[in-house]
Amino acid sequence: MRFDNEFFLSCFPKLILKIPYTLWLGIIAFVAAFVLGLFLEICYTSKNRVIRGLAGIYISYFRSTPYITQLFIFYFGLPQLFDIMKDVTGSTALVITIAMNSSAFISEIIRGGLLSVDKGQKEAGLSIGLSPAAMYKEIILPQAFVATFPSLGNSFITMIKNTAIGFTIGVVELLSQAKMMGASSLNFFEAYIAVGIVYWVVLVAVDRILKIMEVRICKYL
Amino acid sequence: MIKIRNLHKSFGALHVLKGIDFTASEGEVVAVIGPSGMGKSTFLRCINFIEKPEKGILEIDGIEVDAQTCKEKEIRNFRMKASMVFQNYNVFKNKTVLQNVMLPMTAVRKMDKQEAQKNALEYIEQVGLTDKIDEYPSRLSGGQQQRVGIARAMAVNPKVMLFDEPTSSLDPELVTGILEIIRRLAKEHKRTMLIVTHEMRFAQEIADRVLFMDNGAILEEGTPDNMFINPQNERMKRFLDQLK
Repeated sequence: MRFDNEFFLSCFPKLILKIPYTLWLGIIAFVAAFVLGLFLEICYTSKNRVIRGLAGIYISYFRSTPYITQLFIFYFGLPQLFDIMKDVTGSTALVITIAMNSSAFISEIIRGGLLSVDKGQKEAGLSIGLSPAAMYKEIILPQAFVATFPSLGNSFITMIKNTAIGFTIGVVELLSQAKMMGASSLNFFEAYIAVGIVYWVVLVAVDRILKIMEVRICKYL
Repeated sequence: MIKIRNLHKSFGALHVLKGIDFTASEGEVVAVIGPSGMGKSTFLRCINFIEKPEKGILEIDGIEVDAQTCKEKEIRNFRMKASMVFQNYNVFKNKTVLQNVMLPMTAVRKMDKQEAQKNALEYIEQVGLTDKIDEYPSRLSGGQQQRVGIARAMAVNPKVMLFDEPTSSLDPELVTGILEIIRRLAKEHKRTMLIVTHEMRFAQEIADRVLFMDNGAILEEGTPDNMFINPQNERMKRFLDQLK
């Protein structure tokens, strides 16, 4: 077996061009997941038993089925039932599935963050006469955000990695790009090594940036 | 000025406050003493509606609330008549010293920012923390955090200041400084105060009146000299003996 150096190096420019797209998918999915997660958390703590039950089922489904199953059900299964879903593109299906999947986890992170705010902080807020809205804005949300930032960062990284599964439904992101290059030249080994390195570098860089943000955000701890 | 009638509070089956009646006039400093776990803190927390009492009528500065019927909004208005200094300081961790002291004025009293800052700096000076205004609480000692707590409580501009064992969590060498500040507030600023404390000498010196609480009720009250030198109630005698 031989390693085709020239081909290996030629993979990088094409792969690097795909980095923004992969990050973009991850970012949109993360924002959607955060909003959904917040909504889920509100439902999950609702006084209405039906709403609470539905949120529970949702969380349980997404936590306890494989991610790829969720994607296939959404992309291949649902369009058979609902005509309107036939127009959904692969990348939309991918982002929505990642977001729905992660929102279940993020809602639990948010719950943990809200619970982590010290009771004494809320009592002090009551004591100076803060309204419930001001209490959330000034005390609870800022402190919960700091407490959850590292976990949210981890979720974001996981979500970027999860975009790789888009190749199964024809979304041309990093991994699909590598697969196509490998298939067209039969140099699979080189192409996959190259894409592995690209993922690695990108995610280490994202992690670094998150760590820097964390230091800034947690400055008062 | 502050008037409380028939105040009751239970936690589950535990009846913590059993019909407290209490009045204090403007500028009066009242020390609340007694064994731990007998309702002293709960009494203070009920006045500030950090715990909601089951029953009772509370009045401060002409504003009256009935614990059984009052609405959220009434409670909030009533809360602003009093402010609390906590045993564990409970300084807002995500805010600097200056922001902590400004918050009651900007977020609650809707004061304009510049004016709030000017006032806040004055309060901070009174507790001797002017050189720390931009520090976060995590960088402060317990004593310094409690000073912030006191300045923040003043910023509410309350009619009554409630001190819930303000020195109990402090290292012994930091206690004197805090007591000195409270003493100054009492003497120079003529604020009405309720102080739950275990510092008997401090209570004797600073208070106009001392309440002895045990088992959810006020068992004895009187001037510090009468209470400490010549207590009438048996339980009060035993309590003082234990401290000696």
